[in-house]
Amino acid sequence: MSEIILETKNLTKSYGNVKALDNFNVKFEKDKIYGLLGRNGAGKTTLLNITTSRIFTDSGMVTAFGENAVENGQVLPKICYMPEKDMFMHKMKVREIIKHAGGFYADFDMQYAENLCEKFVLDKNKKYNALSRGYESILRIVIGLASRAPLTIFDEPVLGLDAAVRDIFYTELIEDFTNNPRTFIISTHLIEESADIFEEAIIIKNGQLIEQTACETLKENAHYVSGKAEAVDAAAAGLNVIHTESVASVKICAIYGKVSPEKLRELKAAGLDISPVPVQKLFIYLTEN
Amino acid sequence: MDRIINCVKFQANRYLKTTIVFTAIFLISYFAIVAMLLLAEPEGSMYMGYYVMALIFAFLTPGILYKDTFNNLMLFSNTRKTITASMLLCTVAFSALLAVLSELGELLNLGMCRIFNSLISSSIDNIYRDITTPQKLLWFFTLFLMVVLIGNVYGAFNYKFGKMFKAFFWGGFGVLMMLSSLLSNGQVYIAVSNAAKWFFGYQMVGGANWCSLHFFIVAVVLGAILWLLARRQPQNA
Repeated sequence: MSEIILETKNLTKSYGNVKALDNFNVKFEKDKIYGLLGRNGAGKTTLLNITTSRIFTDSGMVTAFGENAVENGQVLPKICYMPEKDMFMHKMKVREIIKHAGGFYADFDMQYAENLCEKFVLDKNKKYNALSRGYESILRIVIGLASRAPLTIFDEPVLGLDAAVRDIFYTELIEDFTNNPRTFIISTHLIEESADIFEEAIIIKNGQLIEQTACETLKENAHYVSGKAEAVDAAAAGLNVIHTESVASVKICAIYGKVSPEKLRELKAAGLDISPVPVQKLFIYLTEN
Repeated sequence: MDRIINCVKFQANRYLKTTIVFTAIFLISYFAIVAMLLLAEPEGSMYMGYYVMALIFAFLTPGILYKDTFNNLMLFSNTRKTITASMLLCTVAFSALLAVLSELGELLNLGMCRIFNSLISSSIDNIYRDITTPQKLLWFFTLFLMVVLIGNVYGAFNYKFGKMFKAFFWGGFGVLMMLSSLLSNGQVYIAVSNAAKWFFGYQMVGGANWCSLHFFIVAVVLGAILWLLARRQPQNA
């Protein structure tokens, strides 16, 4: 196991009667790209806000780079968190915002920021309040990538971006990660297209961690089993069924968990169809109530 | 320390731009008003100096900028301690700038009074006789320090409690003014305005230096309140 750079222990945070995080424990390793997944209100943004001291936890602890991260002047400068919410000064020009951001991160690469602005066709002379939703996201991407912070966090980075621009982002992220390895945490709803860049997926549901695993494992461990209802029921007995649906006499089960190749061959031999579950569907099944 | 300096630069940029715009607007209005006064009422017209208007400006500017400043500096991974320290340093620099501009405004006032004999200056010399220039600068500086911090504390309360605080503050102010003028044939109003005059140094016994000390002590208390408000303040959008 490589070095842990961020760890939460028993984090609990409530808003009134709603528990946004409930005894939440998670570890992030150095130089990996993590996908933080969960439905709206699952607790993703609360987790990110707490780990970066934007808000305070009710109980529990956050450790980053081996130190208590809460309001720690040695730790916070190593974290660049670009939230989904609009926090920039509206009347500032893009150029000024990037220049100011550059002053706050030790490894900020201004030349790279300039290159990214050109690649994304971001007009540096525009004022922030004149940017469209997509370009606001682009500005966050530019600052996050150019910060070269040892821990870079994006909350919904591709919000408002078209498919082509999203593709540029994913390509840049991988390229920059290869040249300057560091830890990325990316919270997103667009799982299908971003799953390939994540090394590990962290799935949150109702403020609790329900899965933390390599994306490959996540895909390998999910299967559809379909066939006649009785045969499917018999085959699924003892397996972790995360979703079922029926069409006429055909029943489809989504199973999640390690299934041996022998077991899969056995199911096929019993006349059942076995197919992979798309990541997006798997996410929906895992997080549905 | 580097981060505090960066935070100060970030804020100073905004303060400087705002001050330039304010001063330009003031000067245009100043000459326009003087011209109007000379035409309409040539005898004994009194006009306000720079510092009176600057006091309103010094209160409003940090009050308005607080939210954006706090959010932006949090966004760039700064601790609340760094942000507050930079706000206090910026307050000192901003107050010093306004003190110098106010002294220049005083000189402009006196110059105008010499040119046009009919004008009466509203200089602080009218409050404190025989005040020296260093004393005057210190008086201005500490006064602005206090007022800018009142603005910052207002901004911090506004950030914490939002519209509720704004309604309470301005509504409460209006109600206080109205009630005090109705109660006891306006005696309460006179008492309140005397207290305000004392607080802002217009009726302070003991001279300008004591008044500056009073401003400074209030400023220190306000600085402490600012830190107490910021230290556990969650970031709001």
